[in-house]
Amino acid sequence: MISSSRYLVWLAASAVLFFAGVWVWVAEMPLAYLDPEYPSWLAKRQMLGSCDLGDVLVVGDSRAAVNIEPALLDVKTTNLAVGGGQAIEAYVAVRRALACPVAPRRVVVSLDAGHFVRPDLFWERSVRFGFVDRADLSDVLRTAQRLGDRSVLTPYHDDGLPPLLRAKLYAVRFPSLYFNGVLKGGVFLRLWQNEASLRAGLASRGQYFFGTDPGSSGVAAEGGLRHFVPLAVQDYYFHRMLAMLAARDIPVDFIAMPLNRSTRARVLPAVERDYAAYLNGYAARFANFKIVGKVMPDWPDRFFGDSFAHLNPGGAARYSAGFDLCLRARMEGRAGNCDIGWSRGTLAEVQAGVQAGVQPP
Amino acid sequence: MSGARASGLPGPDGVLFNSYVFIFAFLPAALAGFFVLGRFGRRAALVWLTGASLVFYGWWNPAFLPLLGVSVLGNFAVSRLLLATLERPRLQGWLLGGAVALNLAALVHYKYLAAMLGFMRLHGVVDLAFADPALPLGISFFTFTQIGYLADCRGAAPVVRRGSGWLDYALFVTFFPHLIAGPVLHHREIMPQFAKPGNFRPIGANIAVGLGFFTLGLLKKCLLADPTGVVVAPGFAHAAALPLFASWQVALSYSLQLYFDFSGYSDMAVGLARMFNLRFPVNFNSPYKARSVIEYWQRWHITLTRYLTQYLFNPMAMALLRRRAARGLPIGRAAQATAGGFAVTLALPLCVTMGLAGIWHGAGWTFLVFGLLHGVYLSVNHAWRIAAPASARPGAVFGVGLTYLAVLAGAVIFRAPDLSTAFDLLTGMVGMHGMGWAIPADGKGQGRLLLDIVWLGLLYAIVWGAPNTQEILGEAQSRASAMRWRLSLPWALGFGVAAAVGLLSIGGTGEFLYFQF
Repeated sequence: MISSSRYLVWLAASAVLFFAGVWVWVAEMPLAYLDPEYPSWLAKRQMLGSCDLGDVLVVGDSRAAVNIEPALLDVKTTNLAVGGGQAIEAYVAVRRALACPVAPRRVVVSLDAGHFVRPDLFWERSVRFGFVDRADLSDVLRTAQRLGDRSVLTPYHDDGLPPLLRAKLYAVRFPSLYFNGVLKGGVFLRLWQNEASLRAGLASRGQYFFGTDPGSSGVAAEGGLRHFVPLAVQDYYFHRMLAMLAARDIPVDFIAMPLNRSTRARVLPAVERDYAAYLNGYAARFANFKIVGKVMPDWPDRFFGDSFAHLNPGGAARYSAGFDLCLRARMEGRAGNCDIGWSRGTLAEVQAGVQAGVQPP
Repeated sequence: MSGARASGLPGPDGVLFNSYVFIFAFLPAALAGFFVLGRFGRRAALVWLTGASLVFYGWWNPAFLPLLGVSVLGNFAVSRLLLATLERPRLQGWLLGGAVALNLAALVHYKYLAAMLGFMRLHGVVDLAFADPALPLGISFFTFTQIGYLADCRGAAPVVRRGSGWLDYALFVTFFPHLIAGPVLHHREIMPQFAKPGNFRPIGANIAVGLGFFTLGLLKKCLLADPTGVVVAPGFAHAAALPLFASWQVALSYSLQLYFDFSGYSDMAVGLARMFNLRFPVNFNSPYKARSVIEYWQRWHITLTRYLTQYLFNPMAMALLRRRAARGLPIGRAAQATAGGFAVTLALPLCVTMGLAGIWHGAGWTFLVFGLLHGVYLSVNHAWRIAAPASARPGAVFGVGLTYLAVLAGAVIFRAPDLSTAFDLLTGMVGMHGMGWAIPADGKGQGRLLLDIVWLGLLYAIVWGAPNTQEILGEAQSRASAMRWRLSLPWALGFGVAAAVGLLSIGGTGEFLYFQF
């Protein structure tokens, strides 16, 4: 038995020490416990950090991250598109890339309609994974406040924290914000798999997969949109990114990723019309910005790996083959055929056709 | 029955016990102010604690503070009138009736009116539009607490302690650990504690025990209840498509989520009160260990059961017995020996009480059916108790299993958004939607199945195999002496780590299953 005051002192000391120990682990060993998607983001950050970017930069959302495989392209390309990526993440990636000694020769942007009109996992991915750093985050929060757009101020699951405090806590990797991952990741059990994923992410130059089912008829976000009204903060960063690239005279191609047909059938005409009008407005404002291909292309459901309209590996390989042809033409200053089709033939036939300069139907 | 949905726990904007704002700002300030002002006298400390409780309440939605204030002051004024009219029972009756009606009117306005009018509109009875008002946090709790107090003020020999002023009363009603979700306190067990001078200085042992309760409650809530609930929402959303095993997984997960959520909340409330040197009654005593439904209600939300028994069941049963006695019919055991007597003296008041208890949780047919189902359970249980010979009583394992299954069916109805969904899930549980494990849209791959089974097994091991919080903390008898807390270094270190884990678990950003792995 000890006195109650000694008991409380020991209790507090043990709580503080344990908390501090977890904090050190959280801050120093994110690969050991963070979500399996983290290594892919880290690979992109590392490529950005070392300015190992090549001629073409791809920015955008998860569909672009999945569908464009730089390893299958002739032109050296880096895929910096991220899961849940929106205009903010695209801007952040481009801004850092432009700080490198050699700027990319072309930027490919791909953001689906949903990512302009509603928030995604900004805090849970972009901030949590450190892709949007402290300075960028401060800028985003100030901008959102100024524009009166609360969409990025609130996380997906409201934790009751004021955004500025949350930003500071993420900046210091406050352990509560990561503890769920520590528990689910078995403290260190994800280390080996995450290290392998990091190597794979670097080897694939940023491409990674989400769902890999042999087909999906799940209806993606576009199927549920009633209107297309871009969020003020996303529009602001989209504009800022294009202005920044225009100032450096870097051509920008906007290419929309395919939807599965189950989703396409549910898209309201007004949504497609307003989305296209929005993009065309920017094409009219910035001479370096071109929309290549349809704004809502569709592919058969069998090429999709999940209900978020991510292509499965077979679908992504086909898409990358077609994209390669499009990109080569664009790099040579030609319009090229960028309405990328899937073809009824085998993947080998598609790739052979592409080598011969024939876009898959 | 309680839990987030039932008890009306605040939404994410509210000051929850398991929030940083509460733990790192509100609670230390409330404790420090209470004990510092306690050095200058009880009144200053009580004013501080009442003020802090109002801040706690107003944090969620300050717009409801006037309602709480009017309710407290109005009921206190009526209680003084009741005590001043002891010699005029008829007037007392009118006063009490009027006050109860006003309290219930406020409750009906905020909680039931929109649903009632909606139902009547649906059936063409009325054509009134009424927007569903925001529900003031804890209105059921502070309304029922005060009605009980008023009832005790009535009569020739009121059980209310004379000399309790408005401040004691206001704190009794608004004291933040019980204000929003119970326990339902009785004035006799709380208000005398406000008068003890020793309660206004910090007592290390009480803070240690209070921290123990709070920590274990926090762990139950954050580490056990919340993760278990992940499958519940998608499961109930797709109840009609759930095959056998998936239906069971959803139902079992919900019953465990509810158990640990409410148990955790109750522990935290008890622990918080203890830090202020106040003892709350036990509200949760391993209910899934109950061998009968009667015992279940003596273990689950104990203070609500006590309240309902004292202020609803007993008066009703007594009135029925008096009527039977006036007609020359047998009462007591003799009455219960006949089917008619049993139905009138026991089953009827039980079903009415439990039906009302059901809709106390919210406006909806599911709540009513849940309550009535438990009324039937209790009636059957009592009939068995009366009629069956002692040798026919089931063994402990059978009793616990049967009771749990009965409670589980009730929990499904309680959680379901409507009766049709409840029916879908229950029919799924008897295999009418085929076999299988798949829960649509829960985001989990089949690879997680084994993990889910192990997790449920672990939770049941805790539920049925581990001592409960009051047993661990020495507030109740327990055979597991090794698990009994004491003021020792190992326990200090252990609770320190547990507290740190609890703090780390608060508000942690969840992982999102958008990424399939």
